[in-house]
Amino acid sequence: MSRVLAVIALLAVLGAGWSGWTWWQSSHSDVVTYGQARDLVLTTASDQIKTLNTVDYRQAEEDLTRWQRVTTGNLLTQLTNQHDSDVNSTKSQKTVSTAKIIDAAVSTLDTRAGTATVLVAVEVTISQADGQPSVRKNRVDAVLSRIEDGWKTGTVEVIE
Amino acid sequence: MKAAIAVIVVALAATAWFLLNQAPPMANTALADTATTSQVEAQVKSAIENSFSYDYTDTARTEKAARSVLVGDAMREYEQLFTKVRTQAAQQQLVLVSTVRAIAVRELSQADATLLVFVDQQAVRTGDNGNTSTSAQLGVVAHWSGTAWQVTGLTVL
Repeated sequence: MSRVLAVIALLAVLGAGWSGWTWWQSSHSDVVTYGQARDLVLTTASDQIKTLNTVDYRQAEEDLTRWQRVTTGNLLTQLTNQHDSDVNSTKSQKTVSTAKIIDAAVSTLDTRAGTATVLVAVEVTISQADGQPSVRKNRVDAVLSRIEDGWKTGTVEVIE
Repeated sequence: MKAAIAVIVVALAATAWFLLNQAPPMANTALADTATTSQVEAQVKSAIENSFSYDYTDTARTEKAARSVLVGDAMREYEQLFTKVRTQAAQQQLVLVSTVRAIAVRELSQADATLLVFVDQQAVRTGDNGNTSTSAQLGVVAHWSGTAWQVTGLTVL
């Protein structure tokens, strides 16, 4: 009797061990964490491309500072250098730009290096003091890098 | 004896907890499944380039290409987009060349994929040597037929 119980106990422990292993795998396997990173990169890139096409002259300082907050590398350097002149020209031309993300997809993702490229189809509506608002559909290839506080856009190439 | 029963109870409880708390299997394997991702990208790329390239001297080639890779809604959408091209092609001696500039898989499950495709199209009118280029963004739905990826949905974004 006790031998039978001992065998059952052993099997139960082995079963628990196996299910524990599959449980751990289900949330920590490379493929799962990779998929989570891909989804994060997709939403981050979409948000950042939207931000980088959004500005309102009535809050130019705030909006253009937000551009710097979502960028890194050369793009950040460039935006920082031309920040003051960007604010001035936005105000003088009374520029209002809004963006709508039509579709986006991650084309490459290297989670070790912390780099990704994302294709974004974005519709940008720009109005300025002189003339009618214009609507443009842009095709964007964005390169993102992972830095200490998350993924940031490093280059934006508009595919003409 | 009591110890053995205690071990069994605890082990069963642990098993139940582990099984109930498993994360669901990843539904979207785009990029994670590198082999399938590159396969669907390559096949959709050539499907789009072949179906949207047109030479007035050899219209059968395009028809044949389109018919082999486009099915269902995609074929209907394609017919709509291409009817005008066909009528113009003969008159203007039109040669159309479509090139995929960029392509990415947004979602991928075992037999289904959705993709974002950036296409350039160059039209040369051999008659008067006119030249125009246009660009488009396409939302593409693809399905694995068992032997190849076929385009089942086509949306101009």
